[in-house]
Amino acid sequence: MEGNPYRIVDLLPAARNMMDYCQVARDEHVAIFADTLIPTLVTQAVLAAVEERGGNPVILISKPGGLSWREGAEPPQAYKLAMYSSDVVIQLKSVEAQIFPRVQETAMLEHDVRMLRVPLGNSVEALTQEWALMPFEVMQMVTRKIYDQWTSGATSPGEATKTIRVEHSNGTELTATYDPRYVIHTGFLLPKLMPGQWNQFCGATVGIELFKDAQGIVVFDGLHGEEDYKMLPPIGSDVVHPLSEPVRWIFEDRRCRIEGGHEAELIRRLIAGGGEYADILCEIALGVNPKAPLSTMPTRRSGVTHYAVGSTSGRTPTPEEESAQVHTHGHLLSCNLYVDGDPCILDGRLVVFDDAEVREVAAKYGDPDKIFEEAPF
Amino acid sequence: MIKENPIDNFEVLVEKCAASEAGARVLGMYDHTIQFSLLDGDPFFFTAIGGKVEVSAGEMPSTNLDNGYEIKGSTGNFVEWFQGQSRMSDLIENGQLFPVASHTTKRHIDYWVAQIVRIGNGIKIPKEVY
Repeated sequence: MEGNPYRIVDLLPAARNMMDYCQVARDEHVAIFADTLIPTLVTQAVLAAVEERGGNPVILISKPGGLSWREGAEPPQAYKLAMYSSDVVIQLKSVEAQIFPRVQETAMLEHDVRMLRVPLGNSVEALTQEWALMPFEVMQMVTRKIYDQWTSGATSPGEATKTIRVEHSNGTELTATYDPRYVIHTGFLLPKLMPGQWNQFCGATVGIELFKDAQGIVVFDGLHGEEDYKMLPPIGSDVVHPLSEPVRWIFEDRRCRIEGGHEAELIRRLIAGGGEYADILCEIALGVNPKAPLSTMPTRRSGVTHYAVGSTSGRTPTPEEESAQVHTHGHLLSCNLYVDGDPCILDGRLVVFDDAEVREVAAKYGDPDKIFEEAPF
Repeated sequence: MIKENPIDNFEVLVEKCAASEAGARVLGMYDHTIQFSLLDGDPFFFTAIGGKVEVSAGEMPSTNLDNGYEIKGSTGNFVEWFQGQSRMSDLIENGQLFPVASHTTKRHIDYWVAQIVRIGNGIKIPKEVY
């Protein structure tokens, strides 16, 4: 039992929900990738849920992802072959980092694999919480509606741009222009997860990863997503919250100047090693899950916006644009966010939670007011 | 298939793909238009509607983001990919092929076109072998 009070049956509702997110079907080969920090009770629950669906599961356990994904790292051969031979890969992650990104890309694009990423931290309790029970259908529709707002009018090929504006009483006032073809949706574009796609269990992000311009200031409530952040309070977590003093990113022509205390100094050091373009805005994104815990998954939490400088790991955006060896984040708990003047977040709440179609779908699973009620931070 | 022109290469791949049952199934997965924009040559595009496919020279008509896509790369890298010497995923990761989309938006279409190229070249993957 690993010193915790839970049994497999306590984790099964969430494990079954994972099956909905990646739509495991009878006779499909499912590889469950865990690391040594993921409790065995969790892998057992996921295994049981796969078997309930009639899938053929196998579990592989490796060292923690955040220590192994760095540039050029290659996994053991058995790891690769298991991934390539699977129909579905379920990745239980103790840290929110990409693990062996090249192998994952190859698996999905070349080997007919679809993937579910499950960021858990290292606690069994995570899977007993409300965030883990958010229905796929609801999260998919919420994500798709926001994606549609952020890409409205976009064409391919096309050079049209859109404008995003973020404001908050803490001094945040940022305006950025972006190419809508580079809007992220983390696998929730379609009602069914297709080969080549991955999604994030119970919490997509919608975001942008390529900007034409950015001007203004973001004042962060917290930081996340770097191994180096684990040395900051709370020690051992890659989510730094609260900050000892505000960290401010000040943008002029997309480039960022960083101000603040010792946390800001750490970000400056990370960026200093990232090359010429490491200080360029490369992400504004938001979460869609109203129950996602801030302590382990701030990027998934509805209304929380996060920002990154550098570029997106593993993919150089375009031959004309710059790339960097860093992608470092901070987040803001509440804001007003507008796309071409249309509200997307007001006072920290996603406007789409009040959309009639979204609420009709949510009503199939319970009281929409309860489903979209945000858990306290 | 020794052709140094990407459009000729791709036409042959589509024909070979359509000739097999598995390939025809893959071709029918999506209705989509993909423009291949050559950084050092003329563009061409591939259209699939209801399983009917066509490869055309020139620029595709501008279309809604849901139905259209653009991939940029050099002639050499397209030829390398289409002739089965490199994988699409490696070319993307190496910064030699540039899908004009976020790293999530067109993943299913990346998969689709990668499969057309793979099947057209007769390349097997482990799950087809074991």
